[in-house]
Amino acid sequence: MNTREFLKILCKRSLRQSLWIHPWLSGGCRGCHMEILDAMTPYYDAARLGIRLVSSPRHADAFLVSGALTRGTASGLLEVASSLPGARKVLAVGACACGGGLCFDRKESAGPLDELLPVDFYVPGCPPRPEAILHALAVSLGLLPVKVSRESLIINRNAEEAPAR
Amino acid sequence: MSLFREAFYCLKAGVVSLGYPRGKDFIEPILPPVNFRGRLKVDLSRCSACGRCADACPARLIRISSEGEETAFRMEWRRCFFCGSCMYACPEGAVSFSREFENAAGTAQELEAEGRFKPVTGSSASQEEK
Repeated sequence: MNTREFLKILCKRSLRQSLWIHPWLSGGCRGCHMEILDAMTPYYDAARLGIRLVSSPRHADAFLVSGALTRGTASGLLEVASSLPGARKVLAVGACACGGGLCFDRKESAGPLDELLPVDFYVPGCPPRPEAILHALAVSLGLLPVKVSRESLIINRNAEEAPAR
Repeated sequence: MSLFREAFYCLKAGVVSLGYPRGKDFIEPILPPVNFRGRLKVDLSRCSACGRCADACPARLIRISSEGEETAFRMEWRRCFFCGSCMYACPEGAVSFSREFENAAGTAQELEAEGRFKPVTGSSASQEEK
């Protein structure tokens, strides 16, 4: 085991108890931003997992981007992303950040988030439930498995029956 | 005296928070309401490739194209915002939403679905049920 792998494992184990997140809203309807803040309330109680909101991107381990990215906010996003630490997770929360949403082909839209930043995890939903955001954060820490797959979206019963015959 | 009253109310409420992978009592799993629109499920064995879901979708994430004898159904699901237009537009009832909401994925390719099938002609699938 070389030093790099050892440091990676150390980072992963230390983050398991305390993940500091910085939510960033890029305009839009603010629904996903409200759900991120909802996940931090005593009802969903993300604090028992060590997840904490921080106001500065310099302290953040995970960067949660929500909202439709526009050409006006894209430069601001890149400025904030440049001040993030190197070992961070970028999560695209909501349909707009994941794939552009409803306005994906309008001229004001800067496209999905992965055209601007390397995205680690996608959280589809409009808005995603607070539990879904907690699940995404748990997946990014390696606590829970990914549950969606290409096969789970499309069912073809005829193709399933054919090889049995 | 008001302190005691406050303490009484707080203790009376019991555990309020939801222990996420489990429910409020930390035993039962969480289930959203009955009509919750979670993961999109397309049953290609009932699809007649009429293309009404592709026309109805405001984000235009469904693409149906014919490739030789077969029909290809492609979907960029990460753009979906769960309006349910495809479900209401489908005459065969092939599109439905399940109650699963934990849809986080590591890559965009996991949220893109593709399927090839031979469409049922007319509305035979719905007639068989009757």
